Amino acid sequence: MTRFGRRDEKLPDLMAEAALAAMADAGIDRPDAVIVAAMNPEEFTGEGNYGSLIATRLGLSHVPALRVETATSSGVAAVYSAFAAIAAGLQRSVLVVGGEKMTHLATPRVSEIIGRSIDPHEKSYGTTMPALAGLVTRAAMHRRGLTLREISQVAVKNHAHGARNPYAHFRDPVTLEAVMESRLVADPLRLYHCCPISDGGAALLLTVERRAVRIAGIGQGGDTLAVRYRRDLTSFRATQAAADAAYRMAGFGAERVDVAEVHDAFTPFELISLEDTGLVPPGKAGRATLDGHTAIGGRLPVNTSGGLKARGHPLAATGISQLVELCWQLTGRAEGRQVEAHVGLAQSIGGLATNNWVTLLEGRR
Amino acid sequence: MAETLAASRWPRCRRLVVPPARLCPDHPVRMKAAGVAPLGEVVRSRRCTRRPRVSARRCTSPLVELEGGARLFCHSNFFDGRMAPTEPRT
Repeated sequence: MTRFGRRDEKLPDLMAEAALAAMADAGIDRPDAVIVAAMNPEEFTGEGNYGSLIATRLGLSHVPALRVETATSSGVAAVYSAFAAIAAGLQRSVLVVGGEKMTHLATPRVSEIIGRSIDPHEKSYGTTMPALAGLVTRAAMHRRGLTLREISQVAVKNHAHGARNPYAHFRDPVTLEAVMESRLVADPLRLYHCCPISDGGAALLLTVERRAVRIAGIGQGGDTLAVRYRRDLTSFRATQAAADAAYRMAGFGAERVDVAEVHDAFTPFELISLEDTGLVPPGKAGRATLDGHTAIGGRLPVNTSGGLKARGHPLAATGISQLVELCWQLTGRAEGRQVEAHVGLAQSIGGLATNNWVTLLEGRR
Repeated sequence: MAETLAASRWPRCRRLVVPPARLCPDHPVRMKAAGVAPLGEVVRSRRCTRRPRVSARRCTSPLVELEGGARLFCHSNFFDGRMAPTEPRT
């Protein structure tokens, strides 16, 4: 994967950098297929036909290429497509590459484009993604007793992890006071509760061959595009369904997970996701975070990469980058932030939890 | 204020949605036209930190549950726990 952050390169160059690194790492220079993830390059960069564009940029124009999109979880959707193609016996190796380029645009324009994934009726009331996240957070504070200190500690932890990751957008630790006193973005969310706008690319090479890491389980879950149709605002049905499917495929449960990468686009989402995936009992994620159980060195390290909060969130690259981080953790290559792990879980959220994924990776002993 | 808000209901699961929708969000079945009184309880609200495009002033943006369980977002410059939702302005 590339370093995430403000990058001068064009999106195809970022994707190519990530893809070439993945192919070199796998020792495969001609995959049977290329699957590209990009959420909205047409509006972010003005370019389209991204499957062919990236395949050609990689010198693989003769290789079948397609593009997959499920909003902010597009990267994992592409991984799933590759996994399914291999499992079905259609391909023996598939290159998955995702990325986004956004920092050249003004923040309101980026928010407007990301907001395309919100229900049109709710958008007509001025709803934005941070506004909906703020509403979910308020509900979680009221119904589940989530506190501002708990959601702020997630940012402190993930910035501390990001400081150890050379690929992270932010490499400076932050204090609890700085997080809690940062400017208000969407009540009650403050600036440091929200992930940054990032550029970057990430890639994986999936193969039928036996390698150091395998996908033990992968599951997808869905929910209504309209938040007003949901009965429960404090958990995500799409994550719960995805986790159930992934655990069922793997044949084991949350108790086997040693390390996790979860979708902390807004820091309360990390706490909600930990409970939705069963990694932490209901109502305990905030306390576990304050007690250091989810930090590197804790019982269940979460977002060792820095998460979306500090590693960054180039949309379609994000889900893939979570899996790259887990691969590095499971093969002892997460320099500076290595934990002891045999099974890793990644959770990715598309839109406001309309199209979520849970993936379980297992290292070969 | 409108006397009723246009809504849709699927008789089998009793799902009521506002504004009207052709199909039930949980079942691929055509819904029936319904009306609902424009009064409800605030489920959750947040203060807008920026002035929304559709409102002249900074406001509160509550999610309101109407009679029958339909929910919708509203705008209000103030509220006391009960809201009188208006038709959406697009």
